[in-house]
Amino acid sequence: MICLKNIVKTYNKGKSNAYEALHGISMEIKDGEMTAVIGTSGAGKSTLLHILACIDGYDSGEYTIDGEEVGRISEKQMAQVRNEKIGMVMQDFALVDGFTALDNVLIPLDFAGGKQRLRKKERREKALKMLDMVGMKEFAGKPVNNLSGGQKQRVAIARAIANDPSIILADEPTGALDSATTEEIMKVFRDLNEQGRTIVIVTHDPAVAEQCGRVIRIEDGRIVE
Amino acid sequence: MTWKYAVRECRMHIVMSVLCLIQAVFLFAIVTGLLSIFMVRYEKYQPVRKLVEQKGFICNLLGSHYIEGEHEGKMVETSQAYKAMLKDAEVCGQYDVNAFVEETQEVADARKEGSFHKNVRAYDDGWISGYTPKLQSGSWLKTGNQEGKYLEAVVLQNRERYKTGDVVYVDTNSETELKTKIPVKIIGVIDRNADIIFESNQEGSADYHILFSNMVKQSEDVEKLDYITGESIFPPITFFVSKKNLDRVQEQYVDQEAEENLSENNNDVLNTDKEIFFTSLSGLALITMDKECSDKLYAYNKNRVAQISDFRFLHDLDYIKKNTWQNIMADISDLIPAGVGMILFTIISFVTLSTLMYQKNMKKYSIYYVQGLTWKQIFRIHILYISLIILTALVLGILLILVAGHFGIWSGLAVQLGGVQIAGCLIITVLLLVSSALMCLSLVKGRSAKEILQE
Repeated sequence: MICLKNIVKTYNKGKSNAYEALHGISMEIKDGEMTAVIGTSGAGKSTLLHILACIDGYDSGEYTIDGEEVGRISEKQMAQVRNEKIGMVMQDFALVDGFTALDNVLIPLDFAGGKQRLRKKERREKALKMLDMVGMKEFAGKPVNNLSGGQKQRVAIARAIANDPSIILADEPTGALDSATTEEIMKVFRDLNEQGRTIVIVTHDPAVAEQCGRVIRIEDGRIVE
Repeated sequence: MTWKYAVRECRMHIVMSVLCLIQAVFLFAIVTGLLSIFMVRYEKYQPVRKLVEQKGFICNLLGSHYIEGEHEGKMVETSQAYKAMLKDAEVCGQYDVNAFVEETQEVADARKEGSFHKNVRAYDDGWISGYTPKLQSGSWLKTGNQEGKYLEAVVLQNRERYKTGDVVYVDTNSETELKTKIPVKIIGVIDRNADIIFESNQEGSADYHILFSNMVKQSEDVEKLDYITGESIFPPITFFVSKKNLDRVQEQYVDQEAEENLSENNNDVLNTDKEIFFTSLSGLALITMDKECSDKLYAYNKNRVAQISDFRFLHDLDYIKKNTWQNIMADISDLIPAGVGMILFTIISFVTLSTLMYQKNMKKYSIYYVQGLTWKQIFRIHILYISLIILTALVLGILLILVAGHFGIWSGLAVQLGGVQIAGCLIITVLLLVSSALMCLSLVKGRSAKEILQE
């Protein structure tokens, strides 16, 4: 379960252009929920998602995942959380250009440590399985530069679920896609949710938000509904 | 994992990697070249550095005579006697020994080549311990008192006439033959191209080369001339012995020799100084004093030497040392500004390229961060990637030097690959890595993966 209590985030802290992006956000997202975070541009939804993804810090408040307070763990443990518990999907896909689809999906598997780490052959098999799940197995050996937007997003989703994380965070995952592809990608998210994964999607597209079981609206750094 | 991703970096940025590689090879070549020029000269000086870097002077003695006392006008035969005429000084000398070495059977059989002049030179311990010439076989002379009834000699020769382990016999050059045979054991043979400390004919500015003479090279031509003219111009074969060993061996044979000569009513060899072989101080002599000695004492001794001896030259060791360092650094001081400039330029260029690559990789590294690496781990991947380039350049550079050396490309050039050159290259390696690392760290400082991904 994801739990935020009074999270405050200020950009350019201590400088003349400092501004508070999140003003004490508190919320709970239960396991298996599919939640949409919506709001206007600059409302703070991406900031919130990046904090949830452990790739951005916060100034005060408390953030816990499955009861463990993220703010109190070391950099190494934080990296482990990003690798094992969270799968991240970005609007611009954030794939490594020059790598093949398979190589991209292998990244989190290669970075896994300890008991999570699989043997080379197993990692490859699992990556292929993930690509198969999103219908991209046949493109495994293709450099991602040669794929379409929808295909790239599928590869990004395959990478996000490679280490079987319980939480998938998506930042405008359909922002760069046409409506048909958006529908396909949303179907993938729904399927993943049906498998029991917690999904949080930041979007400004009401059609996407409609497909989520819960919608959180943020305005000016505050949750308004 | 780190290896896999570092190697992948090399493959993904093949052009940049090759550019960096070429720069690093170029850098190592400059460093190796500069250090080689220095080392070739320095290494030759190093063995005699202790001899040269003392307080005192060096002279090439032709003859020395007592200038007062009961022996006035007589020749000074030993360094001890010479020392007694100076104040608070040590004298390390070389000697002409009035001895004749018998030939081995092989040498006798080869008589058709003519009779070879065999010279015996004795060295004080200071010269023996001060420098060991390159030997073809055996060992160099020992210092200190040697037990045993034979003389140990190291031979310098043009052709393979004497071998290590041969035993020959010495006689005096006087008309009366010795009654007792004094054995000489050859303990070593000097390499044909060895530089040996001997009286030098060095001209021009006197540096440490003044100590050396490549006698074999010099005597090759002289021997031919010697054979043609039948005159002794230069000794083609020289037996080097320790003066202490010579004195000790003489002591053991002189009484016996005197007795046998007396029984034949021959007084010629009877010698009250317990000496069979007449020796004269000749050639290089080092006169040294305490480092703290006064200028007055130094001047006194130098003046005394000038009074006692005839010499080809008399130089202060400080003057030799100064000239030596000037000559060692001669071309290097000209090359250093250009070399350092090129090194700095190449380092800057390399670091810039490496930083550019890091900059170019920032988005990818941020993805790695999101996918579960710490910045430290990501940094490790990049540094390993840079290390791979540098180490490949280092290995490639070493191989190139070795291969070029094998095919004689360096002949006439001072390029060599020794410990110092490798150490120099390793220092450059560390410098490249540290500067690349610092530049890359400065790029990441204060930026989050989120910011980089959003750029």
